[in-house]
Amino acid sequence: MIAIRGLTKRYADKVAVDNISIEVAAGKVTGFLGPNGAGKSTTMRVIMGLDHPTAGEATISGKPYATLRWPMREVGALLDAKGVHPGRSGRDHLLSMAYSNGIPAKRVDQVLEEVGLAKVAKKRARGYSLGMSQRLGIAGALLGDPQVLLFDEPVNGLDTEGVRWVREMMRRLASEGRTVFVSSHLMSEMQQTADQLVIIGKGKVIMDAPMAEVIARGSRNAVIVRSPQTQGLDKLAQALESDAAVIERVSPHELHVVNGDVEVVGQRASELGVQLHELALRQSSLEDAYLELTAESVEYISAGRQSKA
Amino acid sequence: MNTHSTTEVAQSGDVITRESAAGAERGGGLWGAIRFEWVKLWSVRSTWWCLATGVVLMVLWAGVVGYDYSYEDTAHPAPTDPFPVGDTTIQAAQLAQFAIMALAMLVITAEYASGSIRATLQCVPSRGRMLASKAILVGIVTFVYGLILAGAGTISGGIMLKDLAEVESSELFRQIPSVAAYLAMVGMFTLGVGFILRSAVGTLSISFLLLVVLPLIIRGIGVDFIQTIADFLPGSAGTYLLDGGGDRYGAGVAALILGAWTVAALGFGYSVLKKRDA
Ligand SMILES: Nc1ncnc2c1ncn2[C@@H]1O[C@H](COP(=O)(O)OP(=O)(O)O)[C@@H](O)[C@H]1O
Ligand SMILES: [Mg+2]
Repeated sequence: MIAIRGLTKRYADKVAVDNISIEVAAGKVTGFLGPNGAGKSTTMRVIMGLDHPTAGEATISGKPYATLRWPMREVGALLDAKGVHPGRSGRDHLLSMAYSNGIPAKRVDQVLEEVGLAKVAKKRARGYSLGMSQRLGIAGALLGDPQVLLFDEPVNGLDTEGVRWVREMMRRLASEGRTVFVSSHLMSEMQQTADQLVIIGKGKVIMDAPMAEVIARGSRNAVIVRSPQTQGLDKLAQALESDAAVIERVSPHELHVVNGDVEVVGQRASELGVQLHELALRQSSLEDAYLELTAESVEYISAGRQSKA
Repeated sequence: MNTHSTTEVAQSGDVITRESAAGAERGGGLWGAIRFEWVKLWSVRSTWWCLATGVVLMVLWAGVVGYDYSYEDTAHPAPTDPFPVGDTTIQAAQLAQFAIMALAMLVITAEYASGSIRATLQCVPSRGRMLASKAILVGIVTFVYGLILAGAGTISGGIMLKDLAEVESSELFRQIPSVAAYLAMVGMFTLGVGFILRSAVGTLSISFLLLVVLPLIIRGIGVDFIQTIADFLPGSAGTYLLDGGGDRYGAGVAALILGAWTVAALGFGYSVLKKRDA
């Protein structure tokens, strides 16, 4: 189990992580979701004892990482796939790591096989693609057969098959009772993988809830109604509101009926003789809900999205 | 593949052993950290390049010194006094030390450059142990390598001196270990500077300045107290150590001064490493 209490990390004048407290439980995949710059990598570096917190603490099974006797046997982490000496082969990289924690050399070949790098293991890391580097990083995390695993954006650079492989691996690791903490900036990646979701934005926890709850909160349907008749739409809105529907008047020619029913709205419109140009059901995805949640805290918004927001 | 770990639980509920796919829990610690560094050192080509360069510099330069002494032509009749073979090595060590500096520097700066310093600290999170393991590795490797270098230089110098070579074993027993001790301290000192500065260029510049440039240029200045300062620079102490003492102090004091610089560089390196984010 990973426990983070009151963690704040400030770099010079920049607050990267702002007083967050989370517990990452065993036996589950916990997704750590947030836009770029939200503070995910910083949090993971603090958990791994690499960066010193400005305030608060992060512990693993009650102890700070740096005090663990055989750290790699307790915690495995993929933080930065490219953080390998380019002149060293993947196998030597793992072999050296194994020695540091008293892990037998045969385990190196096991994990190389497991991540599908056995054939290129003797090649120097300089020649590895991003996907291969990710696999090497994952092999390093698995090396000590640890109970706690952290992966920082593990599917970056992987192809579809690789993404599925990572997803299944994380599910399996969690089903074995391990603690799996995985970050991503894409909701779509988490949706099929995580049991628990911690959403962060601008260094603050926005939401920490089971995936099912996030889905329930996030999926929202709306009936879209467009009409050239502004007054007709006014009347329709009044009528629907008297039926206790929630109406959003988007423009003089468009309104949305939150969680509405297309048949009911169509019926009403025809009763009132309102001419319709569009009557449609729009299901908003979890992705939309996530974007909405984090819209406030997105650091580097693209110009296109900004004008829409 | 089954990576399940099985846990044996004693009656009290305490976990007594944990046999896992990663083997039994033993090893690790400082010894594990040194083996970690050992494998890393020999698995990159730059190490071999540095070692090969050192041998070439040493053999060539010791040979040149010997050849220069025994050289004769019509204008220069050869000297008749014999020349101590070990002196060729002592002179060549001042050149061959650059290979040691490069080797020691890369042990730390290559990790900062590639970002693998984070992997290193994941494996060995205790920063004191991490630094100690690198210092021990560099110290031992450069000492042994220094012995080999000094031996190679002596042979090369001896061959080029031909019958002018003076081989006195008691002198060689002092000189060869002195060269090795000097090079080992140069290695550990450079490593310490590398921990402080992290960049290859900065580390080489500062080490080069303190070990070579400053003692050399200060030697040309007559002011007495500046000379005294110069005597305490690592480069001057190194020269005294190699020469078996000088007019200001003996070889023992020289070794202490150089040792103090080495400890200071590593100590300062440790204090910044501890505070800094990786
Ligand atoms: N070493 C650092 N020095 C200064 N600022 C940093 C450093 N690391 C991260 N930051 C800043 O902290 C914020 C959070 O970064 P990061 O943790 O990498 O976010 P994420 O992984 O969620 O994309 C960003 O604004 C980033 O620029
Ligand atoms: Mg990140």
